[in-house]
Amino acid sequence: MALAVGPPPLAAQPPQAREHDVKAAFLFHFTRFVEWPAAAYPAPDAPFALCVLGSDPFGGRLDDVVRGERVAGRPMVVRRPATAAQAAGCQLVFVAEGEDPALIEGVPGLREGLVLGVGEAPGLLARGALIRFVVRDGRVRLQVNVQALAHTKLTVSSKLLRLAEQVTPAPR
Amino acid sequence: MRLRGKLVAIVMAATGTALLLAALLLAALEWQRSRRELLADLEALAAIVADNTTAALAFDDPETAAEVLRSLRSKRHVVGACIYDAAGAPFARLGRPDGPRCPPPRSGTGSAFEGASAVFWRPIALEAQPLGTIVLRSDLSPVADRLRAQLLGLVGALAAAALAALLLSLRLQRVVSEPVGELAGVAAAVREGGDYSLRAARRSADELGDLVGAFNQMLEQIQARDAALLAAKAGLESRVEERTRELAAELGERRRAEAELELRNRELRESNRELDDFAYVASHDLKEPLRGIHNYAGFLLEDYAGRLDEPGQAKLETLMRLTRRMEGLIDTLLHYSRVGRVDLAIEPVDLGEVVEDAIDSLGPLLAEASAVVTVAGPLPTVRCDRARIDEVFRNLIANAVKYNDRAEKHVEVGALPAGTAAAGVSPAPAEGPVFYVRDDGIGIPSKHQQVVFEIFKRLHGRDSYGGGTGAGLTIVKKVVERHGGRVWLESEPGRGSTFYFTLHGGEEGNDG
Repeated sequence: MALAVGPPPLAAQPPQAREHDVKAAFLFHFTRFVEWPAAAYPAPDAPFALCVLGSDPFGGRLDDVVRGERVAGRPMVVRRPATAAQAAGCQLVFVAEGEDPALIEGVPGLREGLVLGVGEAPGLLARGALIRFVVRDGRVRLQVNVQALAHTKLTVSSKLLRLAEQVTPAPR
Repeated sequence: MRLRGKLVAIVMAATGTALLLAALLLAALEWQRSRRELLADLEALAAIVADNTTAALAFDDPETAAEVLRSLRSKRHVVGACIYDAAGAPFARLGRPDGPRCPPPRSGTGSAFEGASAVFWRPIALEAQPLGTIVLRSDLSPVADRLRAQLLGLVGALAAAALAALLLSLRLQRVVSEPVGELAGVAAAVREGGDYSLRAARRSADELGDLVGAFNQMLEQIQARDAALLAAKAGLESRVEERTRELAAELGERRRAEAELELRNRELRESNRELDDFAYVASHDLKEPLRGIHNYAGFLLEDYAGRLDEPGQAKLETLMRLTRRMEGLIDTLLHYSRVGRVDLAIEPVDLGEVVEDAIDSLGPLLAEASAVVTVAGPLPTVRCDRARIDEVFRNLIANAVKYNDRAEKHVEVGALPAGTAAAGVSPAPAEGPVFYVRDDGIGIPSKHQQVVFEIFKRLHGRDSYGGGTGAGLTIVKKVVERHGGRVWLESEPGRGSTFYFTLHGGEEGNDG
């Protein structure tokens, strides 16, 4: 087992960077509270792909966080697909705020509930993302899409769920 | 304290101490276990909380973490719970904001007892990635409660056990105290009643039984000795009685004998006195006419000398001589009689002196007879009657001189030491010294040697050898025999004679 370093102390970071550091850490932590079935992987030996679809607001942070980690025995990798189609084989797809929320719809496997979609923009939940980051009182909070949760094939830990605000997005 | 009390006290002390020790030990063990269980409890709680707060830590949700911590409220003994983030900064806590501060975070997993609380800490990790630390603090009330309950239970158990021990020991102590009490009772009864026939019953084969056996044996011995003493006493008493009777009888006998002796003595004395009186009177009465005859013969001789012829005068002289002789005989008889009867005055007498006196008093005779008397060696001092022994020596010496034909006569007086054997008769050693008077006179033929001691028996004519009544040796024999001695002689006719005598027949000379 690799010695987990974990996210660096939060106090050391400038506020802006810190938000995404936290989100990067969160993204990593999601892998600890969600189980992906075998069907979510293209191959039995495929790595766990954490994909940033579109712009990458993390800097190198996400790579730092993910480096050396494993998910369910699979090595974690970070990918940066430019298009939804390129996000095939990703188990976790993140769409930054500036991007078009519709981007996430095209991610293969999302609708089947095999991919964990995480986003920042408000409309992402309606588009099928499961979790959305919201910043409240200076803290990054989570919102969970109840509908997606009902249909997802992923096993989401209740520990995670209790932290999140359960949201039913308005149909588009 | 009586034996029963002591025995029960011993048992209770031992049991009580044992129970107390056991109780204390159990309490101590229980206390230790409670503490361990408390820690285990904290560990379990911490594990659950940690598990349930991983997400809160991971996603920086202190509220949720605090919510989880609040569930610890049901555990009343948890007074504080704190979660620190990975940087060691406080993340969430249970307890009032103004309550005791959380103990600082510590690395690793551990527990400690600090003062009045137990502290447990452990990391909160998410798949080997440390997210933070949880520290739980608990007061020791579970331990105290447990201990209290335990002690109460123990006290109850102790009391019950002690009671059981008391009852049992009260019952069982009889095994020892009853036999002892019985023995003490018998001993007291023996002492008070003096009845040594009592015995204690032997009920066990232990030291108490041995004691009882020994006790009984002692009583038996005492009884036996008592009986023996009584028997001895009875025997003694009967012997004393018997002896007393015997003594009384003896005494009676003795008294009778004494009385008789006294009577005889009186009779003897009477008769002696009568005899003495008679002899005295007789001698006087006899001598008076004799004197008269003598005197008248004298008168006749004087007054009628002219008218008598020589044969007539000679006849008167013979008459006078005869009266003289009769007077002498009467005196001798009187003397002899007294010598035989009068008490001897026994005292220590130096015989040397006596012989000297005797020789002196015979002076004229010795001179006339040209006799020399020699004393051979010193003569001893013996207890005897001085006057009588003087007479003995005088008689013997006079005889030695008288019955001697030689021109120069020699007489030897001496003493042979006790035990010396003399020819013919050897004295027994107890007879004392043998005195002798030896002469070179005419001697005495053996056939006459017994006769010489008979009264008035003279071997020779009336007027030969100095005359004499023939009573001298008889008196010597009488005196010597009254002193308890013997007299005997050795003689060779023509050579001389030796007269021997002893004065004591074994004991001191008799005096009665």
